[in-house]
Amino acid sequence: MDRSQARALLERTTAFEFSSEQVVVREVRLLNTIAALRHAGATDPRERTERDVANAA
Amino acid sequence: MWLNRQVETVIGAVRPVAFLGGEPYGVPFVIDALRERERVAWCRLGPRADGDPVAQGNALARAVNDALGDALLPLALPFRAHLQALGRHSVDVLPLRIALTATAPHLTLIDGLLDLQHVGFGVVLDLRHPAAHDLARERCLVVGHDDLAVRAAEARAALPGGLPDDVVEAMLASSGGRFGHLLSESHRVAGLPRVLVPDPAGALVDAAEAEAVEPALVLQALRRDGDVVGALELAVLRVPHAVDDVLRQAGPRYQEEGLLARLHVLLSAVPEPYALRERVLEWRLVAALAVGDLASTLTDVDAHLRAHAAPALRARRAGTLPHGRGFAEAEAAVGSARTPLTLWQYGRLHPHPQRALELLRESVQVAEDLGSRFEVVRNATTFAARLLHVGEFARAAAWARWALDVFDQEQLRDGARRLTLVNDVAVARIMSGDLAGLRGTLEDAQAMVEGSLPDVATLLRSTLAYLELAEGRTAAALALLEATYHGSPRRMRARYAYQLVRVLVELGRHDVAATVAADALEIGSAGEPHERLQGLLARGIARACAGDPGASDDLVEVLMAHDQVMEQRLCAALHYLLASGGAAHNLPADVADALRALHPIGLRVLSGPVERFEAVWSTLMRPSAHLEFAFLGRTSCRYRGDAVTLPPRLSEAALALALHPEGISREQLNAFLTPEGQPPFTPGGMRGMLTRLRVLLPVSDAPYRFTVPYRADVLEARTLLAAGQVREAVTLLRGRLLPDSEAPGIEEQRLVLEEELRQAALQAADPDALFDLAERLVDDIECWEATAAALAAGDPRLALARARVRRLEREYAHAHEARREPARASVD
Repeated sequence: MDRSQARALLERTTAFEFSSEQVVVREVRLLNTIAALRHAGATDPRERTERDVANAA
Repeated sequence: MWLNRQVETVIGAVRPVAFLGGEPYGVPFVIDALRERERVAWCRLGPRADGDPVAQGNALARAVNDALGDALLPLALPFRAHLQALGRHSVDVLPLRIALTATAPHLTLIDGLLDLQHVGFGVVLDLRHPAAHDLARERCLVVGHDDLAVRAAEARAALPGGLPDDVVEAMLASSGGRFGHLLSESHRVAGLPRVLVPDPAGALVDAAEAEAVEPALVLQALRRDGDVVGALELAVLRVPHAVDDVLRQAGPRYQEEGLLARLHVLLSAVPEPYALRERVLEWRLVAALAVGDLASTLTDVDAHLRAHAAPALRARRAGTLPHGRGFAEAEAAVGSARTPLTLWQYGRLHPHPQRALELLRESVQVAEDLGSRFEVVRNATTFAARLLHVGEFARAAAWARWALDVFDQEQLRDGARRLTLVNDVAVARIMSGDLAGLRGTLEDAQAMVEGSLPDVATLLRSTLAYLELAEGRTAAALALLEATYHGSPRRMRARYAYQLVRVLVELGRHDVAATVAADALEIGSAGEPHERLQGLLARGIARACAGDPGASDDLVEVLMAHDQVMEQRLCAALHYLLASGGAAHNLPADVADALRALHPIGLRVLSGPVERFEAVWSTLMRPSAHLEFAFLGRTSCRYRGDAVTLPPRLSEAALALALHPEGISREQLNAFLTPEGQPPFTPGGMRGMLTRLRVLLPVSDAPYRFTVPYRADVLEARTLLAAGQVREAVTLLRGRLLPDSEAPGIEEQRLVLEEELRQAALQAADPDALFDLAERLVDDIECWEATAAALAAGDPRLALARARVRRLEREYAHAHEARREPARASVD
């Protein structure tokens, strides 16, 4: 399976719904967790982008 | 009113109900309301799982386990395995309604779920993909838009109070009678909090209230909520730089949940350079191997390995290579880092049996210190399998059982791996003579995967056949092995052929055995050396039992092959001893040692007809008594090595004598044998019976006793019980004491033995012994309660035991009520 085939299959079968590169979220539990993360204002260090890591270094 | 109407439709229907209106028509609210009336296992499946029977099975298993409050169904098995298990245990699981919300076709799953109605399960479907509608119309009571539409009176009753009738009517008209739209609009107009839509995984906000959130934040939230399966999917699609890190938890999770096919798709879609990270390459390799698409990853993996030590990736790669090259890579990997993975692979591929065992033992230790519980179980399983390979059955049983305990206590998910482990435990325990609890466990496992996991089913069938042989049911073993042999792929033919031949020979079907053996040798010779040796073993067995002098040549080649599985070498050795007239001095030392250490039940399983092998066994075992009896389950008697057929009445008399080594008087014997209400033996009748017994066996004058040393299984069982050896006693007492006899002395002994066994098992709290006994006693609630208390959390038998206790409690309560009712009526 090449990359473009796999990508197309994933886009077709994903459980996520996207809108303009954003994820459409309806699950209450997930929304609550998202709200808690926003409230904490901290980004999980594991989620930093490579550029963040480079800047931090 | 509306909800009640829909719920009553489901409850009152004699067929499964399919709702074709989805969320707009309020179907999730109906299923949610149903949950307040009945026990409902509700799962939701989207396009991700469509066509993936394991992902579908996982969703079904989670829903059923949630509804039952117990882990009855493991993960990582195709949904058909769960349907089989539900059908098999319906008596204890019912009442239960299965609800499915499907946003993709899922036709095969739906078809299978609908079959559950035939064994008493309710089924309700919320079908949101038009491809499933025809199937629903064919097999269900369909509730479409017209039936789902809210009526005016229902709207007034269901919507928030205070809304004027004309507003309600306007909303009803604009919603087209859709309950979901109506409810959400009315809440908005009334200024009430937003409506939450019920869902199996928790509530959803109304579609209009959904939030658009940046993917990195959703990813973080998914990980925090423990949904690493979803997190990886999102990372691949929108946050690829995070894939490497998410895989740290997600890789093992996909593996444990049997989702490697999906993982393969996901990781095949990862863009460069992220696809070339070391951990990503490792999991790409694992997933590609699982789906047989290695070519897609090997170029990238090998390029990485040329430039990096990469011990984990190298160890994984070693497992995909031919043996010699694989071992070299595994050695290089363990040279870079001694981890649970590298040690496991190095031990697994090591050519020297003793060193392999040392390494695998070390890999278990290192996994306990540094690894995950999954790694502990994986490494211990391989260690146990290696012990089985070299014929150390008792050690193999101990390690496999421990691995299974860890699996259950940690509630690991990989159900397919668990079944293989269950099989290894069973083989090791049969060969070492410990049969307690095996039958129920094996039959459940085999029934579960029959038709859905053919390789595992074949393995379990073959092990069940061994259990039948261990318990002396050769014809039952034949039925299992015939199905196994004829259904086996070419590379497994020879393996199952020798087992089939061994059974055919015992049943006197020598011609068929010779044909199977010839086929197996021909097919096995086209394969690996071990396949040819299995073919030779099949032919050697057939020849040895037919008195063909060529047998020894076939069998010697097998028993001298040090790499061959010890079980097969032992089987060859036993038949060689038969063919050569007991030339034990020709056996290699390791085979001779293993034969001498083999439990009599193992000997029985690997040999053949008792009358042919008795002399062979006698050269290996403690000397036989002059006189031997079996009274439990089946009756048999051997005197000086010869089988003696005892008619029922003489068997009863023989048992009376066996139970009275000091001798039994004529009066005592008469009382022992004569059922109440029947005339006792006359002195002449008693004399005649004893004369007939004396023709066959050495019996003294009164008081009557056997005049030679003797052994009897019933006496052995008493000794085991007295010594507290409950597992062994359970194994021996599988059959009832002369089950057809109505002689009072025997009935009393039978009850005493069974109660002693029951008390001993309750006191010992041994889960296998208790489960075995509870299954045999069927409705003994005390036994089932003790079984539930003794089983580890995570053991699927625990869910069954608890369900049985609940059912028996209900039945006893009903029976108690029924007894009270007439009394109350008479007082009134």
